[in-house]
Formats: sequence, C-alpha cells, structure tokens
Amino acid sequence: MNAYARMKFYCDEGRCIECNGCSVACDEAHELPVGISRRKVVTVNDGVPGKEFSLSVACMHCTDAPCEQVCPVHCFYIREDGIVLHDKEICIGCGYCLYACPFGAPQFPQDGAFGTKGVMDKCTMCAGGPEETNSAKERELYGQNRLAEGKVPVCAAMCSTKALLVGDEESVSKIYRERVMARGKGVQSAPYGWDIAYGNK
Amino acid sequence: MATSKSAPRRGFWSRNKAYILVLLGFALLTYWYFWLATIADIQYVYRYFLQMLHGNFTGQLVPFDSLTHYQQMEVGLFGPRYDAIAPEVIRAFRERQEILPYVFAVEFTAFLIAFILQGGRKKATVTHPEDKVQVYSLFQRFVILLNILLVLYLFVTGFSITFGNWTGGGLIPRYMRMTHELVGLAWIPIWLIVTIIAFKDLKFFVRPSSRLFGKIFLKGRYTPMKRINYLAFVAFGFILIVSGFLLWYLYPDPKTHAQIIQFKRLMLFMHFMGSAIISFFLFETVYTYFVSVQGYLPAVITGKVPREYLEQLAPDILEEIEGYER
Repeated sequence: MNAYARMKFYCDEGRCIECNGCSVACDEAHELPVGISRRKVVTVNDGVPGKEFSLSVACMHCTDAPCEQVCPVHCFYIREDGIVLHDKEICIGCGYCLYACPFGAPQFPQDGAFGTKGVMDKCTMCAGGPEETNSAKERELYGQNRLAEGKVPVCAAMCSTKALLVGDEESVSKIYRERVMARGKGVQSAPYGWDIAYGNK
Repeated sequence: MATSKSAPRRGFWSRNKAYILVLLGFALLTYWYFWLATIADIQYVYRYFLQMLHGNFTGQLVPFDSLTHYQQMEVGLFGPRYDAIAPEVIRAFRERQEILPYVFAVEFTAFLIAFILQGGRKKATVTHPEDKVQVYSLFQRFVILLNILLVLYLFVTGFSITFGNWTGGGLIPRYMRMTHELVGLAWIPIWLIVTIIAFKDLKFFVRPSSRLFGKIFLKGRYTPMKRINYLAFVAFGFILIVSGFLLWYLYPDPKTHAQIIQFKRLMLFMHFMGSAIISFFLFETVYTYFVSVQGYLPAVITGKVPREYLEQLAPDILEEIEGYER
C-alpha cells in the first residue's frame, strides 16, 4: 500500500443524469476559454431505451499516465498523491499527449500563432500547477487550487446525484462497491476505465 | 564530348543497381519494422485502410451493436481500439528520441565512406570562367531555393518536437512547433511545383524543343540514384503533406474527439514514418548535390554555370541547352 493516498475520479454511470453541472462548474470555477472543456458529459446509446447511459469524463489521473510517457519535453509531473499535472511554460503544444490519452483529456485552445494550437490544458483535479500555491499566476494558468484550500474538486462538489466520486482510490472503490452491493447485483466487473487508468488493483 | 549515345552499353546490374539496392533496403526495412519492431496491431491498421477505401474513417471495424456494454462505453467515449495504434505513438516517441541519433550517425558514416571511396569532391577544371551558360531560369531558382529553405526549416522544427528532451520545451520550441504547422502549409504548393518542374522523365514523352520548356522544367536527365531521390521526394513528400495537413485541419475539438482520434493517430503514425524515411533521401540529396560535387549552390543562386563545368560534370544538361540554341 502506498504511503500517500492516490487521488482518483470515478463516475457512477448508474447515477449520472447528464445535467452537465460538473462541466459548467469546472468551466466557471477555472474561467476556461471557449473551446476548452476539461470535463465533459458523454451519453452513449443516446435515445435507445434501456441502453442509454451517461458519464462525466475528465483526466483520470492515471497511475502509469501515457501522457507523461509520451511528452517530448517532459512537462508532466505526478504528485505524491497521484495527481497528474503539467507545466504550461514548458509545454510546446505538440499534441502527443492527446494521441496517447485513452480518455481524450488533453484540450488545446486555438490561440497559437495564426490560430494554431496553443499549450495543452487539462483537468488538474483542482490542484493548480507548479507555480506558487494560490498565486495569481497559478490561478491564471491553471485555475483554482481548491485542494490547497482543503476543498473537494468543484465538479464532484457540484454533482447533485453524487455520481461523480473523488478521493483516495480505496475510498472511492469502497463507496462504489457498497453502492453496487446495495443494489443487490454484486460487482459484475471493474468500473469503467479502472484497469486502463489505475491498473488491476 | 561524351554523350550517352556514344557510351558503350552497360550490363543489367550496372544500369539498375541503384534501384535494386534501394528496393532491397526498403524490403529489409519493411520486414524489420512491420514484422519485428512494431507494437501496433498491423492487421488492424491493414483492415482500417481497407475500411477507409469504403469511405468509413471511424476505425470501428465491427458493428457498434455487436459490442458488449463495456466495449460500447469505450468506443462511444474515446474511439475504437485505443491499444491498436496509440502505443505505437509512445514507442515511436521513445525510439525517435533515443535511437534516431544513432540512425543518423550511421547514415552520415555511410555517406562519409562513399565520399572517401569517391576520392573527395568532384571538381571541374574551368579555364574560361567567363564563358557561362544559363542553366536555371529565375522561376526555377526561386522555386528551388524556396524549397530548400522550407524543407530545411520543416526538418529543424519537426525534429525540434521529436528531440524535445534536448530543447527542454518553453517559448522558442513552442513557436518552432507552431510555425512548423504554418510553414508546412506553405510548403504544399512549393512541393507540387517542384514535383512538376523536376519531372525530368517527361522528356521520355515530350521533346524539349522550346526555350519556354527549359524555363519551366529542369534540364538534363536523371541518373538512377537521382531519379530515386526525386521519386522519394514526391512519394514521401506526399505522405507528409497529406498526413500533416489532416493533423492540422482536424482540430482537436472535444466534441468530435471520439470520431476523429483514431484517424489522427493513424495520420501521426504516417507522418512519423514519412519523416523518418524522407530524412535519408534528404541527406542523400544534400550529399549528391552539395557535398560530392562542387559548384551546385552557386549555380542555383546565380542561375549560370561555366560551360566547361557542364561539359565535364553535366553533359546531358549542356546537350539539352545546345538543342534550344540550334
């Protein structure tokens, strides 16, 4: 077991009602520009009775993050608590992380020279960036640093059905298992994306 | 003056060894890459290409309805078969950063050996430097020099992304990456014009009878290795342009991500391969035109070359120019 908690997101598709509150809250809290969507709600089998379900998706803060592996300028770093962050002053906006990410998390503002891609932006789990904690520069580049203030990431705090869970992976896993057991169905399989993002734990 | 008409007929091997050796090299490279080195699912990539011929670019090879609930989630959110091509991007990244310098070193060594075996640079003995012949028109000089500059810039900025561990990122490499995209767009018409004007084999079909023809199309005939260089420029330039344009045009919008990401991964895969292979022919071109023979660059800049230079090093060009003068 790790000495530190490993912070993870999980969206319970059985509870998500596609209200997009998480996405809007994220956009507003971090004052994201148009075209950037750190968190998005995706509906699969839209309109098919009995098969439709929704998921709120952002960076999964993978244990063995592919984005961190492919970045040619090594702008990513993984905190001791498992949150995957990056340094925007190093990022060159090549987009390799976008190709490598299985969750479509990296976002690119169209503010480069003549409308080309700018530097990458992604979910920070409301943990800011490498700049001084809660400094104006950190807020400008990465948005709010709610974790430093002892708060939950804004998306999970905003989720009205508590579909979106965040916290130490064991706690998140425990909550999900309890929910499934309460339904009387038992755990049929690992939650979506768990094996890809977090390994077989 | 010795011309090809009066030259003794050479054997099959002598005439075609450049083609045979390059084809053999390609066969070995293809075998090594696709059957030994790659970790992409080549069967998937092959079937994906076949699917694209039918107009379906999604990369979802089996019907969506036939997937399990879990698989539908994956495909619906992030595109099909993440593990088929994306790991290749990761592997290519590591390989290019760590192994490519060795590949380039081997290529430079090969050209150095060729240079030594050749006995240094070929030089023409010019006794009448004032007797010059116009070889390149203003239009040709402009296009060739612009092509050299743009390719050089694309090479440097492209590899500045690949070798990001050396640049360390930051503002200058970021602007190099941005301008790589824009200069790449500007190179498309230049590549097309060079492809047309450097098609010297057109003379197999059309007789160069007018001065206007000589002002548009480059003069002379290709040797086998120069023809291979030209064909590599056309073929791999085409791959780079198409893949590069699509990578730039298909902007990574979060709303369309799942629909286009697999296609973009494939395009990046093609762009990597095209750039790695064209680099060899780029070095070969630099060696053939700039290193092994003295006087090419001044000729392209001024457009004029001493007549004795052509007599000794490029008699086919002089023969064609004299054909216009008759």
